[in-house]
Amino acid sequence: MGNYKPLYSPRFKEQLKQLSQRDVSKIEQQISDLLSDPWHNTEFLKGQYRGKRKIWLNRLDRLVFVICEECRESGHRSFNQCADCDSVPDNTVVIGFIIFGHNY
Amino acid sequence: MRTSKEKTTDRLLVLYTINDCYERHNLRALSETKVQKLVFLSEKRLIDNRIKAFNYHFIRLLHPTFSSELRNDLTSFISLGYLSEPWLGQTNRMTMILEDFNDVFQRNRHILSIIDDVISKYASVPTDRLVQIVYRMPWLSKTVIDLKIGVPMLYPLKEEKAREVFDITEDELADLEICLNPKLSQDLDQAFDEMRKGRLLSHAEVFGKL
Repeated sequence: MGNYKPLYSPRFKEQLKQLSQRDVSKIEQQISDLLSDPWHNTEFLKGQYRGKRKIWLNRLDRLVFVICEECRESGHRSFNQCADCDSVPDNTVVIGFIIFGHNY
Repeated sequence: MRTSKEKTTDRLLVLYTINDCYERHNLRALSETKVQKLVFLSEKRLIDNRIKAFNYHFIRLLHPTFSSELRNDLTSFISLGYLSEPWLGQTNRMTMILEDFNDVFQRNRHILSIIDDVISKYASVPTDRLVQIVYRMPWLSKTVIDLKIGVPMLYPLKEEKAREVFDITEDELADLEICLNPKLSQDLDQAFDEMRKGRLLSHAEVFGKL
């Protein structure tokens, strides 16, 4: 794990259950890399998903997440509206969802 | 069948059209029939100029042109909060998309000017009169009213036949699809709802006990 600590949505856990152990391990490694610098090679989502970031996991799939520190500093709390915001440290990355390209 | 690119472009342009009716023409409400006519007339004008932008299939029906793909898009827009009921009103979600993809609109000013012309001409026309105008439109050697119910009228222009194509990058398309693909948007909304409610799991809970 890097400087940032992850928290995960239950939906993300459900998504992992559909994958092979090999793919899950790969994603765990990619999240570990992400946590060392969650701004590297990542971009904001747009429209109604302002305040959330995405990173390509491979040619088709993207991981959607929120950097709590950035959310607070950039005034994105009104977009993300997390109920437990006050109890979550700045160095948290909330991993929300994998967009599996072939599903859409 | 429309391609994924065609569907996403269509959805963006429909939101643009509806927003334009409210913002530039001060309409206070929009019916589905009027939106169907405005998109039909815009698509026809664009195709007449060999411009590929709107890609809906339209057939001759009772009012008198109709696209089931457009109806499905409008229904999805309402269920996902891009438009409000009952009169296809503006919402924050819709405004955010139009603001964040403004670069796409700036790059396609010529195409949008054609859509703007159609909206300027017809948006303020009462819907029943607009329906009559479309009924009386010339269509090949007849008028629209003479066409049999169910006859195909408009379909997507092939890119190789187009003189101009709506310009949107692959990255913009990928971003737009996240916002405008109904199934994806619904899945994302559910995941973010869980985040909002604070139901978050630790690393060990997710990767330790699979």
